[in-house]
Amino acid sequence: MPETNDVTAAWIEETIRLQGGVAIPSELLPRVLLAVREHQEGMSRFREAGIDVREVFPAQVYRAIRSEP
Amino acid sequence: MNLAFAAIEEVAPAIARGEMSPVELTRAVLRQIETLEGRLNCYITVLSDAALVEATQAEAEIRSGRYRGPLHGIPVAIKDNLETAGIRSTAGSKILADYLPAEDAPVVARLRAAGAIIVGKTNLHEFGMGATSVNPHYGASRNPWNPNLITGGSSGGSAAAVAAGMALAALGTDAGGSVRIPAALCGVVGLKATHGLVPIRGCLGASNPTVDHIGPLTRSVGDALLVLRAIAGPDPRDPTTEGVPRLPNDLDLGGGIAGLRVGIPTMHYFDGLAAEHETLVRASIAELGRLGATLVDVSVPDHAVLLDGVAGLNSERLAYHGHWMRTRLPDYSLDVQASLLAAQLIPAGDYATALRVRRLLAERYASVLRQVDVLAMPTVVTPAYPVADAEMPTADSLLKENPPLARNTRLANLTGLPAISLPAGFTESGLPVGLMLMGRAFAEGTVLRTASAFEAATNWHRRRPPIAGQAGDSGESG
Repeated sequence: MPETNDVTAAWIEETIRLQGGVAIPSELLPRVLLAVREHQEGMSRFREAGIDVREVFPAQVYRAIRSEP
Repeated sequence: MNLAFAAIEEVAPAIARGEMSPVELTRAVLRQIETLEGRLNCYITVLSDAALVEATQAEAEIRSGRYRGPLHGIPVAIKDNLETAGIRSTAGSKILADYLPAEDAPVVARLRAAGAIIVGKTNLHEFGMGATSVNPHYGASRNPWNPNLITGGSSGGSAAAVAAGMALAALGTDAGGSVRIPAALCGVVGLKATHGLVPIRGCLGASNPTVDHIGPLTRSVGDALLVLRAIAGPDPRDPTTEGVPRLPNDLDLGGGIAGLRVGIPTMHYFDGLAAEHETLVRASIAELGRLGATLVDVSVPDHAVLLDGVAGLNSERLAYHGHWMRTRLPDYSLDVQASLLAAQLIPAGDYATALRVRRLLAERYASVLRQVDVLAMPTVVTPAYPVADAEMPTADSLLKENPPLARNTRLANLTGLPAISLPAGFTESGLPVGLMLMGRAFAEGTVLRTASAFEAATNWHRRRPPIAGQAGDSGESG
């Protein structure tokens, strides 16, 4: 996946085509482009924070939050 | 007294004694619907005839000594993304406009078993995928405090109906705040219990069974508990409820909150609030202090970047909507289309990361909740704003930045923790604001007791929208 600023409408259309996804109507491409860039920016911030999730097991969420007072 | 504004906990004993008629109560609610529905658009389907039949049956049962409990003969509304046997259940969509489920969702079946009278199916944001309840297929639901304003959502019709006396209680669904957001904007109580306590089977358009919840909207904390009691409990066909503790039978809303520790998050929760709004919420939290609680600032480390890291969860909705995206894309409203289409571009690795990051987030909230009993914060970042600003989605309007209505509420969905929104004051322009309380997993009792103490001390919940009084003999009632 390209860096945030390199994500373009053309890249989105090509990616959807290669993945066999649902084609995006041209009028919605600007909104989808915005959403993809926001997602990219957020994930970049997350990676830069260096939080290690390799040892984190995604169990049923209530098992993670159950706590004794 | 306008019966349509009766509190369940107050009328139930009278119904049990045969001193109040479920038929008269249902008629009062139906009159309110008849008068206000044209202005508020709370309902997609009104079930007047069926409701009167059910009320008549309830009255006969009670007279013959077969009283079922505090919801027997109580008129309630059901959000239209919850399956109701033989009654169309649209999820606010064109795609399901004619869908007639074969059976009730467990929560609906349990309300029926408790003797509740279903007066209708309420309007919502399409498939629950938005927080305004501006719906291009069924029209926008309108805020009873000012019909030019949004109700919030996605359970907007349920919240507005309860606020306006068009039901004594309603069910909503909440995957990111959809019970609590409209509760705050419409000035009612909205409760989302710990994930797993209430079965979610029969919730249409569920984007992710690990964040979806079903909960009550009511006019008091006590009424919320009565509805929760009726709908909570394991369902053998719903694995999210397996192994989950039961709601204790002896929950006591009295007893006060002296000695309770209330955490005030220093993370994003107060960012961007207008001064007036922040003042009201901070005054509400100070009230908890006056009631004997100890107020403590708390924070969750790495909160902002952890939220960045869970963004991949947005792709989960594709599992439910994939087929219709391929076959009926134009039948979705444009905002839902854009959301679904963008989700296709989320890399699988980001989704896998999000599952682990969410676990971290849940652990860190659990850690904070070992230091305090509940967290207190504003439910939403803004009071209700004009429907015209939310507008029916167009390609251009989708590029506009709207207030992040679910910013504060979604954490309780990501972590599964119980949370309640309750009326916490009014702006100078007369709009309600909400206080949200979050608690430890399965500590509904503490959350409700705190909410009840605040409610008893403030009485914000007794205010009625001016428009609602026009339909009955009084807009003020207990």
